[in-house]
Amino acid sequence: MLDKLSREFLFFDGAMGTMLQRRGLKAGEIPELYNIKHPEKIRQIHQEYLEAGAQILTSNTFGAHRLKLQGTGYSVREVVEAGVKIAREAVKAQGEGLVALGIGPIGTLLSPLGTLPFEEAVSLFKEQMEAGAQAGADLILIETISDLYEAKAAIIAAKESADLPVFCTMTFQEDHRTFTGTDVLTMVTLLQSLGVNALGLNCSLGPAQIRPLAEEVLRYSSLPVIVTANAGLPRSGETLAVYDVGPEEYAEEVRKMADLGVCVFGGCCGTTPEYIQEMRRVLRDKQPKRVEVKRLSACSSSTKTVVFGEDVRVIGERLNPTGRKSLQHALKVRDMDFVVREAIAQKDTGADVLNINAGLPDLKEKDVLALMIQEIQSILPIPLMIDTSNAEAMASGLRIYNGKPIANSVNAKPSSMDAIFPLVKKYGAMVTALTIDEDGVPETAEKRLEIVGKIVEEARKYGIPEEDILVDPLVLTASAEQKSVLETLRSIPMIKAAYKVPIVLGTSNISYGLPRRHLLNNTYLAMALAYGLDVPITDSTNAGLMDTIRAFRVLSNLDEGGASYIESSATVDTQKKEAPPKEESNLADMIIRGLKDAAGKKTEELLHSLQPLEIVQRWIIPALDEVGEKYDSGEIFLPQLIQSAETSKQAFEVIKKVFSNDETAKQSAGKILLATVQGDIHDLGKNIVKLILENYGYEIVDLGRDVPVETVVQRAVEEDVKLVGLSALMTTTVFTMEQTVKALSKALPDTQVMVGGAVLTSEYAQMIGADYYAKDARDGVEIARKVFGR
Amino acid sequence: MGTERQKREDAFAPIFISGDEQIPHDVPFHKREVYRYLMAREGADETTDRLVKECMQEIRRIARYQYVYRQAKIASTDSSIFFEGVTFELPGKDIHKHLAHCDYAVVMAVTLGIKVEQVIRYYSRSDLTRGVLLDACATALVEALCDDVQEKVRQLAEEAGYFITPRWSPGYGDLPLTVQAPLLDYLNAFRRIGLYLSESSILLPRKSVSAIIGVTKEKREPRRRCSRCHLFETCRFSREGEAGCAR
Repeated sequence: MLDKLSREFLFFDGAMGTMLQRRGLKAGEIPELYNIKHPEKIRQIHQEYLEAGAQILTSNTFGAHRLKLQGTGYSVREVVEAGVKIAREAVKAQGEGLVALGIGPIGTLLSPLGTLPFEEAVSLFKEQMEAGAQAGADLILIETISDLYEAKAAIIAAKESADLPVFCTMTFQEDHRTFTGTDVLTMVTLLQSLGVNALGLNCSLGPAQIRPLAEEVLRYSSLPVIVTANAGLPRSGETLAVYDVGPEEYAEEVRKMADLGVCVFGGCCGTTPEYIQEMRRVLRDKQPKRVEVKRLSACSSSTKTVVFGEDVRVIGERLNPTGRKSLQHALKVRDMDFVVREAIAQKDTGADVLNINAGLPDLKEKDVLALMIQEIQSILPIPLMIDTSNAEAMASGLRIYNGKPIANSVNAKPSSMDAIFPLVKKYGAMVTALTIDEDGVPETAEKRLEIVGKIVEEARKYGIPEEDILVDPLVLTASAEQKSVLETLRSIPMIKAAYKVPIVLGTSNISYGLPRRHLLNNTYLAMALAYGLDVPITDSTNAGLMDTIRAFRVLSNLDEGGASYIESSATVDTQKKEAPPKEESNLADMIIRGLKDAAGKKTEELLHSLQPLEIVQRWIIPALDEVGEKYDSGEIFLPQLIQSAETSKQAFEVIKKVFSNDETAKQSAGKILLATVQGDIHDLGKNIVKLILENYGYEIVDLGRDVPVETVVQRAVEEDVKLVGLSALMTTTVFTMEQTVKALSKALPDTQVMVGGAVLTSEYAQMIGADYYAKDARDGVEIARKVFGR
Repeated sequence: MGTERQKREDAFAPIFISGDEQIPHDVPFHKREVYRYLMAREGADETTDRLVKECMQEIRRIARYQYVYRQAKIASTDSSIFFEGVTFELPGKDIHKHLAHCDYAVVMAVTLGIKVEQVIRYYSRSDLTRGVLLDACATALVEALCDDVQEKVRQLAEEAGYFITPRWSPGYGDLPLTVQAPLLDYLNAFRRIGLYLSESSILLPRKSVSAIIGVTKEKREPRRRCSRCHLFETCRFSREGEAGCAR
């Protein structure tokens, strides 16, 4: 039957929940337990759907995962096996039909948005899927997913637990986004790349509201498209939710969607066998439209897709520690604030994608790369290019990434392709291909083209389409290889004529070893763009380079009417600035009034005439003291305290630039580790404490939020800290705080622990074994002073 | 519908309503409330005041107003309280007291959606002042929207000849946070408004609230006293001179 997928219409069943409610399912009951407690009811529902014309039954296993079944006395295996078995029996009795293993969302958000670790989600799904596959399911249907990351976890779990076809449908709102913000293009791009057999939409909306969404899915999808809508929108009525679209009206909408190209149907909330019967009737003599293969070169985050080839797209290169001391240091101490700031700066200056690299000796590359991915993805929607030559780090990075990443890179050496292509395929990534083979970098454009051919052909064997390959024909420096500069450029149109691959180049390599690099960089970038470069990898914070791209977009008719060129010219003149300080203002005033930009400039100015320490002692410390006193006396409040602290931080940043790392370390008043405990995601308070402690010269190791007990202990040992600060906001997470305190005192008896958070009191802090209770950030400073001495 | 309902004596008709609306202009989303969550005095300085206004506008722009509420008929014994036709119970003395003399309850949930969550996170890493202000604005807004939903419920109750109690949320008094799970399930809140729950019973998106409103024939004094609240000792939000807080 699945062979006919996309050549004939295929019909799933309708709602299970609705049917069970009619048979007495109460709110609070777990419907999946009916597989064991009332199998006859489930069997009857299946049978009714088959009789109505459903060809694929969905087993009653939607929420049969470990977290939900905890405490019920039944195992995942028992419940899933029973569910699949009942559906199998119904199909057998009917004489035909297939059984889809129904898999729904876990109901809790994955980290970093929530607290469920990605691998834990994969393992929850695997338990269900392994049991379902062994019990004889014919395919896996992942449905009602709102979070793209969860869809990825489920699809990976499906691929790892069984060799069955995988269908996946997601739930959208009327604004064409899921609850977690994924748009249709992003969903289609990733699901398709992850290798599902069919994809589409279910639940959330009635058939009329879902139709425009289906149209959008069809626009991008090269796979058969599924739609299983609700029976309209929910209305109030007696005790059950009632839906407002009847079977005939529903079937009419199904017919319209079939005309558009949807080829697999079924029903979600509120639908019954009558709906299936009706939709079969209206499509009786019809054939589905042919599915066209769309060829889009695109990568994505979970909420944003970047398409290559239609316009110039910039990949920001700055998150690479090679030759960048400040980033090297940040990665070593895992200062993710630095990483995040760099990411924001690049995005704000026009980067569309960010390259990230953690390749440093003595760095656990795999861990740091994964951390960078999660930190950046937790606050920015920008897609990432994962840059590593370590296959293990690449695998873990691609796996944990939310969206469709770019793997950087593969080359034409068999060892490279053997290592990288399986990962690219499995995790649905794009890949950057360098035109290098066993003989090294080729001298001619022709040879580059030949190598691209080799790579594209090998990729095809893995099922990786050429549009997922970004080709890098390699820039050689003009100082060393002047003759080959034009060869690289000449190869661009040749490669693009032969293959549907976007071209990427790290253009700034051109000028190594020559004076006035910016001149060469700008000129070369303009030349490369004219030759057909699609994706420069460059420093987007360099205004000159971005200006070149803006100008190119006008001259090549990409920027219609020069609209964005003109806009960017305007913002140069009228950038919004903070209110100018009064002329006589000194640095202390500026800190007290929270004028960040002015304070930065003033500090730079002062550095011409004063020693850094003098600036700190004469201006910054007195200002901080004054702000602190005002806060304590209730003259100013939290917002002003933070504003002043951020301002003095700005001043410190300027000063730090003239210090070496050693000197900075010497200035440290002591090292403190901060974390929001496992299970808790409220970290504003902790961030405030961090900022204020930094102001007073303490060096902070910030582990972020939702930090497992073991990680706190391990890092406290590694960093050899004398003081640890823990925060928790919920009564439910104070328990993990207690566990963390106990584990710390066992591993590091001399290390002091301070705790804080809205539900804590000093008595409570004492009860859970903490040494100090910090009622606010200022209190934290007092405690630090006690521990480290003034 | 109103007249039909009035005819049915002593019955508060079953309702199960969800919505995704524009934020009404007249919700009680006031600067005063934002300052209260910031533990700051309103108008203490100009810069902050300007920022607060900006942040209130930004939150209004990015927040959604998604809600769901569902009626339940109360069945109770001396020691526990539960709804008819459901399998879970509401543990604790406080909710028992809160719903005393109530014939019905309305379970509700409101969320500002994921965008607010993402924006606050972005600023808490890039501009902490703004992050803190936006967080307080979002708290004030979600409470204001709860008031709006509560008003919808009050009107429905009134049409049927009933009064309502203030809302009571998991985590108030001795009503444990763990009751979030069955309440959200009762509301089908994941499918209706995209509400997730963490293993520590934290609602996600964070700027969301679930609550229970009692529906009763008895008119009750709507104010509650801070001194009776379990958070009285540690509460930083108590309103001087006024009875009750946003809870």
